[in-house]
Amino acid sequence: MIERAVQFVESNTLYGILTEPSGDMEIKPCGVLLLNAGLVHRAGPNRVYVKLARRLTEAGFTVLRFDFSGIGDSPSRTDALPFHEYAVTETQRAMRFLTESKDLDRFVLIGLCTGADVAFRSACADARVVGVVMINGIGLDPEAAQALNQEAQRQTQARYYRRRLFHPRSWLRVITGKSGIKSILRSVGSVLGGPVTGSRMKQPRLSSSLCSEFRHLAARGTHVLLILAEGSTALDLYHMALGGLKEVSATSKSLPQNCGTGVSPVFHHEPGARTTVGLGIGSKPIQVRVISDADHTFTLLWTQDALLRTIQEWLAHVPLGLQVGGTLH
Amino acid sequence: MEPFYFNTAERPLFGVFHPPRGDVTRSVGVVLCYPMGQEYIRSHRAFLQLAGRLAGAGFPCLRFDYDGCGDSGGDMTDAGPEQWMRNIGTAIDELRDGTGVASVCLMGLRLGATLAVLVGAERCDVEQMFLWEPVLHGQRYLNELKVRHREWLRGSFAKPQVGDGQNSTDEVLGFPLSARLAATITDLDLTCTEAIPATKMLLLENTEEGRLHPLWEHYRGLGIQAEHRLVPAPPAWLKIEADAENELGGCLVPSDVLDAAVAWLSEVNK
Repeated sequence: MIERAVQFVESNTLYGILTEPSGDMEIKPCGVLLLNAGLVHRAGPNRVYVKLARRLTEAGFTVLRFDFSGIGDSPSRTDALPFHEYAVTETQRAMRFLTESKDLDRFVLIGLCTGADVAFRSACADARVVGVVMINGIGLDPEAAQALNQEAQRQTQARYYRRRLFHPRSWLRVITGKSGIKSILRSVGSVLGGPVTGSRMKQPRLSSSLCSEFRHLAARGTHVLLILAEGSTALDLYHMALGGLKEVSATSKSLPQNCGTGVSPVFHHEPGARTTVGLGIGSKPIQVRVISDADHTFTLLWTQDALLRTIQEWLAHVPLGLQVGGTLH
Repeated sequence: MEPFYFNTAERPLFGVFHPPRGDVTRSVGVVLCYPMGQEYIRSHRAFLQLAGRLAGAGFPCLRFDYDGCGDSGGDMTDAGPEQWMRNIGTAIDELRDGTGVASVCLMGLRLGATLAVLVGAERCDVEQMFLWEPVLHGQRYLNELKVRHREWLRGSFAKPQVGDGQNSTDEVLGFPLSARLAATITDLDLTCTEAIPATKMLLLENTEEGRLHPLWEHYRGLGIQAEHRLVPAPPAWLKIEADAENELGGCLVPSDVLDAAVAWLSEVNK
C-alpha cells in the first residue's frame, strides 16, 4: 500500500490523500472516492475513512479521500456557490484527477452524512459513477432535509426512549436511585405519543421525486448501498422518504419495516450479533443494511469494523462491471 | 501550504508545511503538536488556522500527524506517547533542515502540549513554547476521557459488544486505548519535571479555574520567562452541539486564543 499527498485545482486547490495498492497487487479498474462527512476533514469521523481507504486498497482499489473547499485543508471558495452545488463539481473534478493521473474511468463514491448526499447527487449527475455507498444519508437536498429533519429527529428520539423504556437496566437505575423517575416518565410519554404513520408523513411529492432519482440510477446500472446506523436520524428519514422503493433489497432481519410502529426485532437482537455482517448480497440494485447498536458516526470500534466489513463485502460481490476490459453500463 | 510525507517509508508521518509570508524574516520556526484521538479530530481546523496565522506573521510552521493518527501511517493500537515524542523530534529536525531556522517554538494543545514539554526538556533547540490547556496529570486525563465516554454512551444508541474479546475499556470516544497506551499516559506528570523545557513560555487556559497556576509558578521558580494568560473560550477540542449561535456545531476556531499565541510569539521574537 502506498499513501501520497495529492492536490488538484478546481476553483481553488483541493488537498487529499491517495491510497494505492502496491506494485505487485492486481489493481481494480475503478477508483473509490471518500467524501467529507460534514465538517470533519478527510481522515473521517473517528479516523474511519483512513481505515476504509487502507482496507479497500488491500482489495485492489485506488482510493482518494480529499477535502472539499472550506473543509479540512482545502481553502474556501471565493464564489458564492452553495456547498451542495460546488461539492458535486469538486467530486467530478476529483474523478477527472484520477482519470488523468491513474487512467481510471469509473468510480464508486462513498460518503457519510452530508458526504452520502453529495455522493448521491454526484452519481445522478455523472454516468462514470458505477457504485454509491451512502452511509447515514439518503440523498436529500438541503431544502428537502430542512422540511423533513424536525419530524425525523422526533422519531429518532421516540425510538431512543422506547428502547430505554423496555430495557430492564433503565428500571434498575430508577430503583437504585441512579436515575430519576422523570426520565422513565419521559420515555412513557414519548411512547404514548404514538408512532408516526404514513398519513402523518409530510412532503409526499418530495418522496416520490427522490424515489424516481434512485430508480433512475438503478435503471442506468449504478448500484447503491445504503447503510443506516440505528442511532442515526437517517434511518427515520429513509422510512419517511424512501420507504416506497420497490427496488430495495434487504432482509427483514436487517431492515426494520417501520421503525415508527414499534420495536423491530433488529433492535432487540442478542448481544454480539452483528446483523449487517455476513448477510447474503441480493441481486437488487439498491440495497439497504441497518447496523444495530451503532451511532451516527460509528464511534464504538466494533461498529467501525461492522461498517468497513459491510462495504468490503458489498464491493466484493456487487456487479460493478469491474472485469478488466469491461464496458461502462 | 505544502502537504508531504516524511520520516521512514515504514512509518511515514504526514505533515503540512506553511511557508512564511510577509516582509518579516524570522529565525524561529514553529512545530504544532496536536492532541490525540477525538480531540485531534475536533481541533484540526483550529490548528490549520493557527498555522496560517503564524505563517502570515513570518514564522515557518509545520503541523503533522503523530504515528497512528490522522493521515500518518500505522494505527493507534501500536503507537503511544514515547513514539509521539520521537515524532515531534523528527518534525523539529525536518523543519530545521528544510528552512534553516536555528531554533523552534513548540505549540501544543492538551496532550500535545504535554508531549511538547517533555520533548523540549530533552533538546536544546526548543527555545520557546506555547502550552494551550496542557494535560498536567496523565491519570486524571484518562479518567476525564473515560467519564466523557461513559456519559456519551449513556445517551446514545451505541452499545458495546460483549464476548468478542474487546470491552469498553479498550477504547475511548472512537479511538483505541490499549493497555500499553493507557499505562504510558498514566505515568505522565508535568508538575514534577525539573528539566527546563524552554526559556520562554506562554501558558494559556480558557476557563477561570486557575488550573495552570501551580505549573506557571513552578516554571518561574526554575527561572523560565513564563507568562500565564486567561483567554475565555469554549473548548475547541470537544464536540460542541449546534445551537442558535453556532449553527454548524462541532467545529470551533477560537480566534482569540490563536491571536494570543501569534501575538505572544511575535512579541518575544521582536
